[in-house]
Amino acid sequence: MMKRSRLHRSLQIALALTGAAGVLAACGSSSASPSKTSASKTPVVPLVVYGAEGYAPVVAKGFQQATGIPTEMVNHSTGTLLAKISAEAQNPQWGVLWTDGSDAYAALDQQHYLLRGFEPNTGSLTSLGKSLVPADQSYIPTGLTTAAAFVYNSKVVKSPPTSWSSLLTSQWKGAIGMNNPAISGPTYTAVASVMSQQGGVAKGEAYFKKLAANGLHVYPTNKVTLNALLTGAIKVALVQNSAGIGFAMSSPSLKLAYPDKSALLPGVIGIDGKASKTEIAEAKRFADFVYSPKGQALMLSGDPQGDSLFYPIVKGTKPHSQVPNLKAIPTDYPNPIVWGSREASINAWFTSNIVQ
Amino acid sequence: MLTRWLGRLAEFLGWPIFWVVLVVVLLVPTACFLILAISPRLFGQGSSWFTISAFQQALTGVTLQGMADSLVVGVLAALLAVTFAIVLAWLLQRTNVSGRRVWSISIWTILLVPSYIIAVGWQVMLGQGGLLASLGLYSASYTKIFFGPAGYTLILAIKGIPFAYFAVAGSISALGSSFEDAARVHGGGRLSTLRVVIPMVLPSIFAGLIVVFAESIADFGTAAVIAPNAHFPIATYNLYVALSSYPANFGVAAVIGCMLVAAVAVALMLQKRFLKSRSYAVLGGRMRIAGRSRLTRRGHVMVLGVLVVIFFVALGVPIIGALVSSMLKPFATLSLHNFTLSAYRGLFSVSGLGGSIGFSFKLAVLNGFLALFLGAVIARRLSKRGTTFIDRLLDVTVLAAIALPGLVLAAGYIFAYNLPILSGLGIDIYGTVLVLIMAYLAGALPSTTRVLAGPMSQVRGSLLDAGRVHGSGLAQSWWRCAVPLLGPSLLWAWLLTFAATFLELPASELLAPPGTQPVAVAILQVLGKSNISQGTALSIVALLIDLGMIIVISILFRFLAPKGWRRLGANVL
Repeated sequence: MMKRSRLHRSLQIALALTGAAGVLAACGSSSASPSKTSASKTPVVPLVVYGAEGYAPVVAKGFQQATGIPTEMVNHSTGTLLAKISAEAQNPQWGVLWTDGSDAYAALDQQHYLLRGFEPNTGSLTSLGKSLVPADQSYIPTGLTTAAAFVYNSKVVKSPPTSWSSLLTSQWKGAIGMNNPAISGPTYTAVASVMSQQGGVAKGEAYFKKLAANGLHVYPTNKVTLNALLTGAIKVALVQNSAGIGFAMSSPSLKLAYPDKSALLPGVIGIDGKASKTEIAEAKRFADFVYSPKGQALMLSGDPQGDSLFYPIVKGTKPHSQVPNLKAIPTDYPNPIVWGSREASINAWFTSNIVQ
Repeated sequence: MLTRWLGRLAEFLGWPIFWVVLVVVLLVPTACFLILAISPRLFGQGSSWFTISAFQQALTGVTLQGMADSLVVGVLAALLAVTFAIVLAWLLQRTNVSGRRVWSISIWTILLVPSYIIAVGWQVMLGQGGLLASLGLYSASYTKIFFGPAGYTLILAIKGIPFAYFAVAGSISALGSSFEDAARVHGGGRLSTLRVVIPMVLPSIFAGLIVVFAESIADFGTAAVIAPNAHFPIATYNLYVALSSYPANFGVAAVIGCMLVAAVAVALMLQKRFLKSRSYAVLGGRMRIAGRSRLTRRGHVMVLGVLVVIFFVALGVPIIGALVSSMLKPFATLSLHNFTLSAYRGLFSVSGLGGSIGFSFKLAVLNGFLALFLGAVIARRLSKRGTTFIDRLLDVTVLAAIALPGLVLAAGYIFAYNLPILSGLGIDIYGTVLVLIMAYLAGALPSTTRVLAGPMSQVRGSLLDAGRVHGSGLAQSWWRCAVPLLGPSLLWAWLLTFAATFLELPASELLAPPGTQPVAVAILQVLGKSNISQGTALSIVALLIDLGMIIVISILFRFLAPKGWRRLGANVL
């Protein structure tokens, strides 16, 4: 699959049709030329990386510089990327997918999208990291955050809530905001975790109904929820902890509290099992690069006030100082195989009963 | 000689090429997505070749409620917007009110401000911790009223004002004063004069109503801000949720798309029944340009007051809100030393922003011309009486795209142009700039066509016949006789397309080639970071670029356009 030559041919068609000479210049960036040519004789195709992680473009650039493999980045939210992948099902265009949350990967794996049986060998995982690797090795954990943390404004809130049940008290009536799990991938993991802590789907639904009756606000994404916190529309935002820590760096009065149990949310790489052999080989090298010290360093530096605030799972990588010690946070890891397959029905239920 | 030859060639090849372009750009992707509602397996989205389960899912509960809400809001927003537009068009085209150019540019600015910015601006103004709250004026009850159906309708009506204005202003200015004078000479008072004139501009009023209705039911920006918290289901928001969930529910999204299209088709049929009974061809070569009525001093003050109120609500509040949120430190009270420009300075450190702006700018310029040409051809074809079945189909198709939220059209492009069968034929255009250009064109064509529908239907056939009698070909007589009369409308249509394409989001998100980043996607990326004010700052910068383009083009038009164009266009821009 020589995507690049096709791209150029199509560009020529476009130019011939429209006579827009300017377009070619505008698209200079789309046909990335490797800064180093690969020394090996293996044919090279562009590696297409679908990434929602804030540091993904920086890592992709570093990978291209290190290997000479032209790497094309498609950087959107998790929801958009998964919708693209679903729509492209008959003719996949991606090589690597890199987002937060393993539930969607477990579901993708059940539909035979992912390459199985590969894990990088350029870095060794901590024991916690190893526990996140699926039995069929269909996806690759790259780091950890938690969902959800309770982010609050310490000027307004003196003693933050510390458990899921405390959110149901009158003290927090109309004061809690969270994301819609149907739109924000990490939030689904948080919802799944709360439901499993409550004792299953039915009891979990009852809990969220009580939370809604207590005036829960539901926003589309982390950014909107945290914005509502900044403007004072809510007092506590339930969001991914890395997003909360990032916002707290810009707004020092923001603080984080953790509930009785919050879900472990791994950053995950999946490789397109239907890609060409060449692209699969390149995707494996990409995953190897991510586990290497250079890749780890780029993950930590690529999005300093956002996704870089993760908890590393490759031995020898130190987290940022703002990231709390994970041992001090009670966590839970809802089984992705069980909860991944329930994602569609739980999200649909949540949208109908809680959001609207 | 050469132009005549080219004109002949264009006439010979024109229609076949036109139909091919239309089918490829609009019909195929739209049809693919809508067919998905009943046959998911065709596109690898499930196991059934034929099923109505998506309809069963979509016609219940929240999805059905959302559809009903959208229709009611759409009708109300259209009526409101057209009322505002008629008042504005009359004041700006036919009176000597001062600052006409400022008001014209303000109307443009409304069009450029993305609806989510308007919604966010109102939030900053009215919300808890907002501007009014810091002045001690916060009230939960009026906030609740605004961030519900009422506020949603108002914002959509505001967003619709430019569409309605472009539909009616051209004809009100081109109508000339002879009809009014005739009515007045025959003893008609103000009311009866209106009764004579208003029916003459009915095609434009209907065009305005339908465009605003279709734009409103397809609007997503406002829905995204208001719907989630108002417990007020909206069709486009439900559609967004269906597409964003994993696994994406394309079936339900397609059904919502079908229903939105059907709603506009019904509105269109009503319009046809109403307008087809008579002819509205009143725009010809012998039209005198209307004089402006002189306002008394008191009248002038009142008129200015009305304009200031309209534009303060439409633009003042959201712009103040956006500016404040881009400059105020978080949690800071409203005082001067809490304002900072750091968000704007921070934009310089965002890498690749210049490339994004250049990329979107070029495609927006190109799309402006493509949509203008095709839109004008379609608008003219649709304005002829005694249309054939093919023309009716064309009309519905073009409107289908306006009522289909951009998200659906973009997804349709993936299904249509990423089929393995096309790869097998060596047609691999998916993931290239060509597909993005096609999607931009498909997204812009409906609104451009609607904006031109009014003016195009008013060009008298006799005007073109006169050109033909004097030895011009069809293309040449259009160019020499009709285009000068249509100059301002064409300019508006081009600018409209440029502005909309420059900040287009859904197609940019789903179809931009790997490695490129259109402006709207870049804004979204920056907004997603922890520095919210930086995202708003970037939106404002993008708006300024948009607006700068409009001012530059308007000035160029005034100085460079042929004399005849200018004379007619001068009272517009």
